[in-house]
Amino acid sequence: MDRIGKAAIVAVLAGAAAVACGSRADDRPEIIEAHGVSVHRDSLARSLRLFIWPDYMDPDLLAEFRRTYGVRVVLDYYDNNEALIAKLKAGGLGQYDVVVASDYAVEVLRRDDLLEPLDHARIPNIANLDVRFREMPFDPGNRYTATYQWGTSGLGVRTDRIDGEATGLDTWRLVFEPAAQPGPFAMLADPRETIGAALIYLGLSANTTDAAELARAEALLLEQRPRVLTYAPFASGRELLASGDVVVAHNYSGDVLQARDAVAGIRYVIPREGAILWTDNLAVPAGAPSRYTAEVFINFLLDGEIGGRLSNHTRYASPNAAAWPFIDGDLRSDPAVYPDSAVLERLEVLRDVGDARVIYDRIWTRLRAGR
Amino acid sequence: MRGHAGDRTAALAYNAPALLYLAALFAAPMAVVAIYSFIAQAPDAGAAGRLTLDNYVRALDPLYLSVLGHSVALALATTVITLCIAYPCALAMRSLPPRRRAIALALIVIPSWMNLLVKNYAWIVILRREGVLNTLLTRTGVLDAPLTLLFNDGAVLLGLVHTALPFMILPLYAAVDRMDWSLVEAARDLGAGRLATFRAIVLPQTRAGALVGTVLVFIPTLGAFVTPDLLGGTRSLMVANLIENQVLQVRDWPFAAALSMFLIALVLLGVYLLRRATRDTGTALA
Amino acid sequence: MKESRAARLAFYATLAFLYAPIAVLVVYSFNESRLSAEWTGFTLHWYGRLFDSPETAAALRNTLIVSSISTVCATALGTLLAIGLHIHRVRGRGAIEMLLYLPIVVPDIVIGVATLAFYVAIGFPLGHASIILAHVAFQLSFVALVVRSRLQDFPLSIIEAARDLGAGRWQTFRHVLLPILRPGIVAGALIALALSIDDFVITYFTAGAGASTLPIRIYAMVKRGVTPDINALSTLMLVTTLALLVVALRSTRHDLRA
Repeated sequence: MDRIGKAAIVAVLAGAAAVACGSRADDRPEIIEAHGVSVHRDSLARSLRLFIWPDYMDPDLLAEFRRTYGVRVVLDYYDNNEALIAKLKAGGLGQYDVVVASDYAVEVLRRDDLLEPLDHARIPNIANLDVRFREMPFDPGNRYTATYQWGTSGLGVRTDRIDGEATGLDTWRLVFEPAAQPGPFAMLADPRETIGAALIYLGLSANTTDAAELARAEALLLEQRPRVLTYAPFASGRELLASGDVVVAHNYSGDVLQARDAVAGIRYVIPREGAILWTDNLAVPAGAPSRYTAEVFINFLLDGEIGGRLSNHTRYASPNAAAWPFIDGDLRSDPAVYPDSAVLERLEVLRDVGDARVIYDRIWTRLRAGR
Repeated sequence: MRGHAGDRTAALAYNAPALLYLAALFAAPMAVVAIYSFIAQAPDAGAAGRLTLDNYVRALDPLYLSVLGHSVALALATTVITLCIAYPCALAMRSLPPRRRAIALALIVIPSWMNLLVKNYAWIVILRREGVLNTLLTRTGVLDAPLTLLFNDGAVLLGLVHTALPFMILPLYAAVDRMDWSLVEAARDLGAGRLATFRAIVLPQTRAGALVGTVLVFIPTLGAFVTPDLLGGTRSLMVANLIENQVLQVRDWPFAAALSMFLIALVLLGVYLLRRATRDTGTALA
Repeated sequence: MKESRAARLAFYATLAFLYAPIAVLVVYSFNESRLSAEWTGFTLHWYGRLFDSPETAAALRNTLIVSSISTVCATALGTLLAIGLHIHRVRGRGAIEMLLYLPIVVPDIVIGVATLAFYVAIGFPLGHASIILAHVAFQLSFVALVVRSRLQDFPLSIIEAARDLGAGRWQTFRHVLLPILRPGIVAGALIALALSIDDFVITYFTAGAGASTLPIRIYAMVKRGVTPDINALSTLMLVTTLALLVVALRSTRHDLRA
């Protein structure tokens, strides 16, 4: 019996190993013409490693990429920019072909020479980007990045679980002022976002390096802390909102809208005091296994129709002007996705704070550890 | 064995590979952590190369000490609770007929082989707002509205106890099994009550088993990461979560290293104290 | 000996406490409803979804590769060390034994962080190898301890007898020592395998891109929300580890009898 048992284990392991090492015949043409560019099949890698936020990519698009170019896209996830930077710095270089980094993270990565420049000749679709995204402060001229999606960080609210009027909800007071708190809430487990929210509520800049201002933000956050149910990564926060564990969740626009699919009573609000506007950007990290494949992929994503399908899936705003006709009508007209200019005025973009990062880190650590 | 020149080669051949491996992949990493703990932090660069005690000074801040203290408290609570549950269980198991005893043993061992993440996830499924417990309680009218049962120390403690129980029950059962039961019978014959018998005879004789169980529960619980991460909220942070945050988010390696050294110190202290206690009872640990 | 009803009740209650969450998990993996705890119907849909998920398939693949390789290495090294400690004693044996206990006693979080720091310091790339190397480091101790306890139960006079009869070193090792040790080696190997398959924290820090194992996959899935496919995956993992355990017990019993 034991011999049979051992043989069974060996058989299972061998079978699994066989499955793992499957091989395919190559039926791609030698030069692949698609999405405005000619790609040499033999210069492509067999797989592309994408490091990205979870639920931020349409699997159908990956399947299409594979059909067109024969390249399998493998995803790895991180929950916030800090984790991305940490991973790249701690053994992550040379592991990924494409990463998706937010604005200030791009600044940090560029400062430490962790990004490869982009060859625009191989990414003609970069011209599809709306003119606002061609001269971003962290990368004018798109030398290293191409914007992927953009959005805002605000509050997701369960209007169906809140007593009284569903108006006047667009304020940070819901989470910072006990009297205005409608129920349990979650904040983002992201130092820049949460500290930024406190700073904005206090009428300060989310990019301040002034120690006194940061001290005020810290005091506010420490005072808020006992009332916070949990500091949740955005995906968890989305779940908590959908399940009703929290009635307010500090979260990203598209994710709250994804939750709205499951629960109709969810609304996304951009607080009137101001909020953070962020852009997520495609970039090629230094030492990428295949820059060529990475650039083909970026060009693919910047295609108009692909861009439209992407945004329809993620519910985030597209920076791609050519994608506009392909985006769902209800998304195009939704102010939560595409805020009007009056709202845009109140939004702030995160910048790298340089050495002041230590202050932010200390605040965040004290916040996490406090009782 | 007889002393031969060849025996020394044999000794080397047998001992060296594993020891070299441990030196390279255990001792060296530990040394790296120790070194990091004495280096100053530079923003975004991990470490700056300047030797300092700053990280330890920071770690002694009451804020972080309270996280350590909280971890010790949860580990102690888990130990005490599992001890209280394990004693009746061990005694009950011993009183079963031999065939059923073996089955009981197996039933206690099996959960210890189940994946930790799976077990914690199971508690999430039960305790979440739309979970099994809340649904049951609201459906039967016990509750008007579902409660938020997760994201607090209670949930974390529940998860910790659930994971630790088999490790307390097994050594205690082994000790109960080895006991001299004639003493118990004698005490009973002399008219002693259950509780008195338990306190005077069972407890002292099973002390070694209880100590082994304490080691097997207290030490790993001190360094728990998954349970507080999945079941706990802002107030339930344990040391391991803080260390992870420092490494993977804040990127303050030196501070994470200092915290790790504190954790190791606590663990070694625990091991030392428990070994001393065990030696007093005249039984060897493992 | 009769024991109080209270103790018996406590025992059954404890069993219920230990198994109830698992039972719930398994039962709801067959529940049609995605969101609520209401039972809406029996389905295998969630298991099907597992097979459709490339990430779960990759995680399974990685787990098998990493755990089988690490177990083989750890078993070899651990067995050698056990023999070395027990038979071919060297000076400083006490210190070695302490070193052996450390990977078991030191918390996973510290081992994980330390190993990652070490890899970064020497520029070792993260991938599958980084996980395997880290796993062997802690599996080794368990194997060594298990095999050594087997050695302690066995009279070594047999080995001396074999040598006296003229058997060479290798012959003694292969035909006398190994058969004696086999139950211990198998038990140690299976413990090491189970530990490696289930490991989360150390793997979390040392895994490279695309080398995520099943526990890491489950963690990521849990963080993104509660869905029944996690239940399905968990159930499959439970069944597998239990099957491994059963095989382990059966084979050790056979070996002992032989």
